[in-house]
Amino acid sequence: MAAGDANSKPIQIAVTGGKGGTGKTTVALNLSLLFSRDFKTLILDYDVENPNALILSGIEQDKITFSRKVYQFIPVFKGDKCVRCGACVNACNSNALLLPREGPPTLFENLCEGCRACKLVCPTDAIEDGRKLIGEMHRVPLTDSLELLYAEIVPGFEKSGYMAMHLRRLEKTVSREGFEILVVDTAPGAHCDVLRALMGRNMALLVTEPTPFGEHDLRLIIDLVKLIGLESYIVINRSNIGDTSRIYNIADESGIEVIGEIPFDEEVFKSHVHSKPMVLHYPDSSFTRALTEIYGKLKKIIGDRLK
Amino acid sequence: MKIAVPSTPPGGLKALVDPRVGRCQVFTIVEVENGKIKDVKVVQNTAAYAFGGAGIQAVQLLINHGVNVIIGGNIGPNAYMAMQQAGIQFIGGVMNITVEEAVKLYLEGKLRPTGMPPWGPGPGMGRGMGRGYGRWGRQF
Repeated sequence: MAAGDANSKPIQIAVTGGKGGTGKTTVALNLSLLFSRDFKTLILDYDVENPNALILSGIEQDKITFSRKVYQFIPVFKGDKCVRCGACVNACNSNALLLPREGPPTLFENLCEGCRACKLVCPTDAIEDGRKLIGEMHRVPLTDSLELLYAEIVPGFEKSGYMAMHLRRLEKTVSREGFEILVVDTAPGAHCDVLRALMGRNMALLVTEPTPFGEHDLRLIIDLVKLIGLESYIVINRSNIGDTSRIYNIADESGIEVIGEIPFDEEVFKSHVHSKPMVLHYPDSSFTRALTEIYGKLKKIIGDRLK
Repeated sequence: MKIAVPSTPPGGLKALVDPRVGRCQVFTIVEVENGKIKDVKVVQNTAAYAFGGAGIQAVQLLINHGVNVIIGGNIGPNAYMAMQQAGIQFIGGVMNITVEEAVKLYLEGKLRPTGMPPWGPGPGMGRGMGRGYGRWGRQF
């Protein structure tokens, strides 16, 4: 496969789906374990608010080989240089600055988005670079041929898309280390952080479930992948507990193929309770068999593309 | 002394007090001298449709108008901090009465100043913005 060449770009497969709890991370982690049998694989957890691919993998945090704290710019005012002109307050689109009756402006840190507009417009150069911690990024080897990259924001920080942007930059550097496959696990929803994780990927798996919630959120995520022109395939998880025909109707309407069904499997609970990935510890389970089938189809799609 | 009251449009002494401070349509600014109303003017709240930080921007507007007291229903923690920074007194929990009635009650000493919003300022307080009616209970 051409992806094996050191200089070629890895194939990037995103796992998303809109609704929370449909099994995105379970599918992403187990799929990446399957890929790692044949390829050097990197899994990325873009659910920066609740990254739990590591927990699911059963690997302890002390195996983390690399961590980097992420900071955001905040303005620091030099009182002696400030002439109280109010230019920064007017420039602040987030309304994070207040010019009180005396002294330099006051910053409302939680509203600041770090755009630096205040610093750019300040006529007297009274603003210095400050920073606030917004989260941390980590790198962990899961097996010999599979590594995990994930980020976690500090609780209360609202701009998860900003963190996703930082993780994307780190991903760019790390993925050059000869990785052939990138499996990208996204957060639920169809917002900035999900969009940042999806842009520019080769394909996306839309993991859903046959419930009204699953249907509703599947429609949302389909709108999103169509908007950005991302080739997608639907995966129906817990396929034997609801009416899959409604998901197939959505698939027909949108022209997005259902690549596979994964039946409800109690062993998935055991896998979660003991943090033992399905494909490693429950190889004969119906989940693993169904996912292996999906893996085969994906490999064929990728192989055909590279011919 | 200048008292600002968030008001329903078109504002003025006969308008009702708008319980929202940051996102009210207009402020009625009442100038008081020797316990008597001396002047009344209505100011458009340019912060009403701000994406975020409306409370702070509204307080900035009132600072620029030289306001000393704000009488209204509710504010968020950011707006409260902004008022503290500017030395503006906040009288909360006032609603369903006219601006004139509110100002009179204040001048008669029947309204008490309001303390910090219950969940207080600090990192991550942004989620409280613009929610939470009746944090302190109604005064009038």
